[in-house]
Amino acid sequence: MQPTTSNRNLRAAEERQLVARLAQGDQEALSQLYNRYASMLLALAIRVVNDHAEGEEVVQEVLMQAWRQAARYDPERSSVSTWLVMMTRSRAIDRIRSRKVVDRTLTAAQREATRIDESPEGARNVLHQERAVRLRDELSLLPGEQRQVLELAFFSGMTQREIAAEKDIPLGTVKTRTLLAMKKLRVALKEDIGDLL
Amino acid sequence: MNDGKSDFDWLAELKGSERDEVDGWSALSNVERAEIERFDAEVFGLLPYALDPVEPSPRVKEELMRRVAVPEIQSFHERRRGPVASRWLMPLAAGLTVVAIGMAAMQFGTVRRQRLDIAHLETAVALLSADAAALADAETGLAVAHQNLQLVSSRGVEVCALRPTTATQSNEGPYGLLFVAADHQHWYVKVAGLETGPDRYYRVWFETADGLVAAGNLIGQELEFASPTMPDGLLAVHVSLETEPAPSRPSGEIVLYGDEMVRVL
Repeated sequence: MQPTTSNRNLRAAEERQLVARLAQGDQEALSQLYNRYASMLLALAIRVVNDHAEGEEVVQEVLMQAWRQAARYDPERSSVSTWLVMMTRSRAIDRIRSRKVVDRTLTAAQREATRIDESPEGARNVLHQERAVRLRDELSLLPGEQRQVLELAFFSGMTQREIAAEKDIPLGTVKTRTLLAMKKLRVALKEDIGDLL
Repeated sequence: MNDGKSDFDWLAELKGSERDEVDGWSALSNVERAEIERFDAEVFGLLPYALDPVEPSPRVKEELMRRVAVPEIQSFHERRRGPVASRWLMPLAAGLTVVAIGMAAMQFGTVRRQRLDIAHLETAVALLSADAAALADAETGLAVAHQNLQLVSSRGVEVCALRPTTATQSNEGPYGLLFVAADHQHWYVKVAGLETGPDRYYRVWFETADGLVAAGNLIGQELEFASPTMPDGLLAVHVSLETEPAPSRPSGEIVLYGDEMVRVL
């Protein structure tokens, strides 16, 4: 069942309040933020760096960054979830770039999402579970070429030019496939995005 | 990518339905595109939800909460040691340098004068030993001179003159000053007249009730340096001439010594 608009607004406001408390040094707020997002952020970090222990380091760094920079969070620019996701992605990509293990990462990025760990704690998060199902469904509906450029861009941090070189296709094609994939996801995930904003 | 295709050849790579959608995108206004881009950031933000969540090990949260709890203590600590120390060090060194120059001139000038007075009066005492009255005056003057010398070099808080260990009445030879800030942590040494050269290391030692503590080597042509730490209960300062750069105990000659502190400020 999709959440109602008022519920969505309430949840988004609650998360913004959480970050505001973080900015005031409220450790309980950080604990709550961790409980909500750590498992999702760790899945992302592991997907990018391809290493569980390093992924945990990334998550810890990101939440420390959130703790220190909570006052800079701008709700007009992104939701709390996206703010954390983008920090995680950025830090994880920085790590793989510094390791210069692009080939290893490419392999990881090109494979389908695999189950890394059965997580009873994460499984309790019904909202995340429902969202995960919808995301997977929508991604599976994308043509393979479009899903591929999206995953290479997001999980590997590759530029469109790098993707074009890697896949030996024109840069414009990469741009267009990205654009088309985003357009489809935009429509398909409208409710989820509204839930975040 | 330079593959010989023209700028628009990429359209030919698209499937029919893809090309139709590109045409639709091209018709959007800038405002619509900006809104969509904002929306797209959220689409990207949702992609990780497609992955199976992975529960971090408990130590990740424990370590995180420990790290956010510790800085409150650390920041207090840093206020005392880190940032403040670095903020203090340069102004302190600059201020102490100025004080050092002034005090060096004043103190050594005064000491020299007092020593000259003592030498002069001792000579006078010897010459006038037969003259009781003159002798009494000379002895009084000698006592005053000793008193003045004691005053100049009396035990205080801030400045300690470092003198050669070999007894001399000469004004030549090395000398130095140790300046200690009011907090008894920040200190500064400046010496002059020490012969420099290869394999000549001048090492500073703080003497406390527990023994000698190495404070480091004098460096540079000016033979001066500063450090933010000092042991409690300082009794005296030694400068030894070493042939090794960092001995744990003084093994060479003690060339300068000071145990009398003078309050400056």
